[in-house]
Amino acid sequence: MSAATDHPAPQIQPYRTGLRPETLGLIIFLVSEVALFGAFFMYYANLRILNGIVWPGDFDIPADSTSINTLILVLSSFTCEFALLSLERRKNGAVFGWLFATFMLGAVFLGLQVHEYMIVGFTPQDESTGTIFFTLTGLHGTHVFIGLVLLLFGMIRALTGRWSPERHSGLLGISIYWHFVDIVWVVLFTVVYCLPSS
Amino acid sequence: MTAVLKPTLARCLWTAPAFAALAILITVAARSIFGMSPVLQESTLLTVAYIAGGIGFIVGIGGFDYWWTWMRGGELDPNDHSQHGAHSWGDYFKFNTDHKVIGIQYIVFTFVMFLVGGMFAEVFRSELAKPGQQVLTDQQYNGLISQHGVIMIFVFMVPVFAGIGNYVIPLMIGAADMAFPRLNAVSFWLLPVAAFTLLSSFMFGSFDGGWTGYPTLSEQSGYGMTLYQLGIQLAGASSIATAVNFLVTIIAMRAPGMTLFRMPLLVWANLATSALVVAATPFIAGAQFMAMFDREMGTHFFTVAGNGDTLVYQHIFWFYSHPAVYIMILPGFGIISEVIATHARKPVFGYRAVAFSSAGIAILGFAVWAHHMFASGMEPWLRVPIMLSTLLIAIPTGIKIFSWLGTMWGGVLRMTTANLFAIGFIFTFVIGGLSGVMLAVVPFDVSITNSYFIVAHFHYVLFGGSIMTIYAGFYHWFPKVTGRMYNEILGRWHFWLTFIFSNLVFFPMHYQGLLGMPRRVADYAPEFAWSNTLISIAAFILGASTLIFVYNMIHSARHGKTGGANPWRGLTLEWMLSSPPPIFNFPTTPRVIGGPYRYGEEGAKHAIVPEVEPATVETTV
Amino acid sequence: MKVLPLVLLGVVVGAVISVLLIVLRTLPVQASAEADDIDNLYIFFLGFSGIIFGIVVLFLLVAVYRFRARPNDEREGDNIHGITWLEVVWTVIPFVIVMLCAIGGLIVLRSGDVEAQARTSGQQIHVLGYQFGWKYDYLNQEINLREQSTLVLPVNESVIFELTSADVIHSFWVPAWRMQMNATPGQTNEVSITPTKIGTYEIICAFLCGVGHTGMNSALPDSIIPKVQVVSKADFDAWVAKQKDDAAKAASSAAADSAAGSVD
Ligand code: HEA
Ligand code: HEA
Ligand code: CUA
Ligand SMILES: [Cu+2]
Repeated sequence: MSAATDHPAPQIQPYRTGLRPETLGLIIFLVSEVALFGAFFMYYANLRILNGIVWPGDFDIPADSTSINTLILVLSSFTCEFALLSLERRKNGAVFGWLFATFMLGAVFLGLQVHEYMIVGFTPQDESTGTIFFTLTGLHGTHVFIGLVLLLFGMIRALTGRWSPERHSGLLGISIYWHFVDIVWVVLFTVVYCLPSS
Repeated sequence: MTAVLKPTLARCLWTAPAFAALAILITVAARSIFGMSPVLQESTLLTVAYIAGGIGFIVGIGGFDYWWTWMRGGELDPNDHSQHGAHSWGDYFKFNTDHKVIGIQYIVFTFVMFLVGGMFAEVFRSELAKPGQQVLTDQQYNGLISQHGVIMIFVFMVPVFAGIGNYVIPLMIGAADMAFPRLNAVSFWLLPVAAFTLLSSFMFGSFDGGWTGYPTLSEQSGYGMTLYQLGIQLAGASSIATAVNFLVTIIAMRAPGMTLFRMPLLVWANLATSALVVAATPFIAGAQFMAMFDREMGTHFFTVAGNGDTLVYQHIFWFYSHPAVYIMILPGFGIISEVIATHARKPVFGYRAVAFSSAGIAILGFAVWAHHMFASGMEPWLRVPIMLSTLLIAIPTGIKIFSWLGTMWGGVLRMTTANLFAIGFIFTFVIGGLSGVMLAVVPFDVSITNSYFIVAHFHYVLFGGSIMTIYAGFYHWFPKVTGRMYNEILGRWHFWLTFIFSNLVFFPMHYQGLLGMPRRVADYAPEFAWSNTLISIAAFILGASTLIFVYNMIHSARHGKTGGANPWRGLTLEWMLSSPPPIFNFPTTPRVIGGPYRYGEEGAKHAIVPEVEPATVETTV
Repeated sequence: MKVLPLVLLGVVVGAVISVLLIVLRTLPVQASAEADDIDNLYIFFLGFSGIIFGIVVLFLLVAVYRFRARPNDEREGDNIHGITWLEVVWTVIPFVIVMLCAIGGLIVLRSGDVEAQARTSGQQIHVLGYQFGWKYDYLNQEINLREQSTLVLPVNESVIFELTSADVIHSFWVPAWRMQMNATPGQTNEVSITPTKIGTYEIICAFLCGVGHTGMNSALPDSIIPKVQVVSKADFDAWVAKQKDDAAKAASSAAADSAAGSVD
């Protein structure tokens, strides 16, 4: 630090306690994520309400195999939570293990999603319905991917021993983000896959 | 030599091209592996180059250095202040985490953008000065008005308020900095990237669909349109990040004793604005994503051929862009409250009503988007509810206007330039607001929508409204930021020229619109000849008057009289610090003991800054 | 501080401004049945806007005049934080005004809708916007005009326009009718109007539709867009007959052409 400062640097910390600022900021950021998904859901709702959804070329999207995929993602939310629980018990190895499990489940989810893209029988360039199917799931997939990258950093920091019950707002953030991605998927799965196409 | 490795602009010179080149390589490789043809698809390559180049720029300037340590599992030092504060003018060109430095970076950068956008206006006004087409082709004309609108809105008006807020809010609430100083800096440095993206579209024929960029016209345009879509997303990302920062700062970092109802009204206004930004901005990102995919990837969101629905673009676009107009005025309202109370030496009349009306405008603002679409052929049942909600907005806005009048009434008005601009603002903004109310009424709106009446309306609220508040704010806090006083005489000249000529430019436009002059045209019927000539001449003088302001600011910052800590004898916290404030703001944590506007009360204080630091406040983890 | 007289004065000043605005209003001719309602709405707006503006500005000026600080005047203002009844008043009065606007708007909107529904006769015209011009099809006359032809309408007979577009959004604006509606690709927008004055009127494309947007305005001196022609019923019938005749001739000559072609 420079000597030119008039008084010592205070720690830049909140005066008001409660949620840590990082966590609060993340939650506020997630509101804007909801809005981003909202734009795409708005488009989808418009199509559905006006025309009813008919997937291009009369293909149907594979709801059954995707429900398994949904289970996988929901499960990963639990494994992620276990990582935080292990941290509270100061079991650093278990933290890594659970994070790794979460990561693997997420990766499997993404893999299956890509597989589905290949068998679904239409492309984003086939009609507006094909477009919105791929962009909704793709936007979510991008979020899963970002979540995976974050989990990777979480694992690295678990290995270097940076998480402690006292200082882990980063890990908490990763888990909140991961749960968010999970919840969005459940909503998406319900309205895109489960509602019968007309 | 080391300059190109340290986080500086010099480093950007190689990181940005390097990232862009890498991205192009990867894309070309991927395209050839997956057998896509043509492998060298120009627009795709340009797009990835722009995105990666932008990231490379942020990397180069040092935006990711700290997070990189986090990512690779390194030890972080939360008290690392090495990038905090400016010690020489060179520090303003660096990645800096000090909210005061960032505030100035924002203000100067966006103001330059204002001059650029205004310059575009002058160019197309010279085309409009005479009937017939002399200066510009249709293509160039459309490009210039679109650039004018986009630059003014996305890289001037929205971020300049973020800049003022950045400088003032942490001071006003007694915080040492913003909640996330590094994110704050990244938000700022995204702006030059956005501006570069938008302005460089001139190399590709610019974008020419107006600032609204509606499909299906946007599908026909050249590559410049993609840059519009990208640029808006970048600016949007920047403003979301800032809003998150403001919200957390205002919620969590207020000094002890600063309850919600002891916050200065500027802070209230920014609270409401930031909530709007966070909840609304992603919609424009969504709309631009969709339009961009349609252009670049052949998807069918809005194309007729693929059963797309062009109207949805308008819905999503205005679902952001209407709230955006309040994003561009609410912080200004906050500034006006500060300026009028301080210069009238009187408490803000009806503090709570003014505070709540910001929230009311923000909430109502989400329910009125379709008033831009009365003639679009949207669902007819939507017209009446939208008309009602739009009309209702006049009420909270009126509460503010009348409260400011009530504040001035019985005060002791110091007619400084800042106060002049605040008073001039009320005058012009009311005109713009009243024409807005007229437009809200459906049958009237459909009789003149897309005419110069609309142009008149929104310049009255944007120029006569927002710009006036910005000038008021600039003059008000100039002594705080620089420690020197501006030149009042030049300030007065600037005010009167701006006030008179902005009215001369924009008032006749109402009549042009009513008589049938459509907007976004490079030529017009002969009957509008003399009025357009008048408007253009007035616009040139208006533009020139800006130079007085620029001179006044630059000259006074170096040679002005010193102003002392509190030349206006303001009560809010920022005036309790030296001018300019110390690098870490408050030497000790201030304690707030009363409301912010206790003018006229004997010896009243808003806050005290204790001499000795009290025992450090415990924070829970 | 006597405020009430000032408010009254404000109303008076405002009323003067209103009257000025109303007298100085410049509008295109009223050439449709709907125009009058809309213009009355506008006069109503000018009325209350002038008064609101007058009050605000009067108070601004009086405040500046009466309460300005003299040089070296270090006094403070009154320590007043608000007067509740006053705040209620200035919330309620705008509410009332705004509701009047809404009611006025609703009445005009409703009368238009009711008329449109009650309509049994009248012209039904399909308007296709394209870059850069208009093409009209008279659905109930079975006349299909060529691109860039003149739109001819009988006076005092309602018209329903069905607008759509071949490429990008255009907007069909006839200021003399106080009517505008977008022509959007992929959808059909309806709007109806009753022309009440014989004459020619400008058609303006009000929506940015590309490089030819400026030129899509019949008011420009060298425009290729024809103006609308509103004619008497008799003239209209004659025009319709002529169009049908022309169309028949064109069809038979085309048939003859193709017949000739098939002999070859
Ligand atoms: C800072 C920006 C800003 C602000 C604050 C506003 C404020 C308002 N605007 Fe405006 N508007 C724009 C920026 C803004 N607007 C822009 C940029 C466009 C054009 C976009 C484009 O197409 O390119 C636009 C277009 C626009 C339209 C669409 C026109 C069209 O395209 O056909 C409408 C229609 O309802 C409208 C209405 C209003 C209303 C009712 C308000 C209200 O909030 C105003 C409220 C204020 C007052 C009413 C004055 C003060 C009140 C009193 C003194 C109390 C007493 C008053 C009464 C009783 C009436 N605006
Ligand atoms: C904040 C918003 C803002 C501001 C401040 C302005 C400022 C001005 N605007 Fe504009 N305007 C818009 C937002 C704004 N505008 C928007 C959103 C549109 C709609 C676009 C669309 O249709 O899509 C629009 C459209 C628009 C039109 C309609 C174009 C059309 O429909 O065909 C016109 C016409 O006159 C106009 C004029 C002006 C003028 C004369 C100014 C003047 O106030 C400008 C004054 C000039 C200056 C301040 C510059 C001074 C510069 C110098 C002295 C030199 C500086 C030196 C360097 C650059 C190094 N603007
Ligand atoms: Cu067609 Cu503008
Ligand atoms: Cu709006």
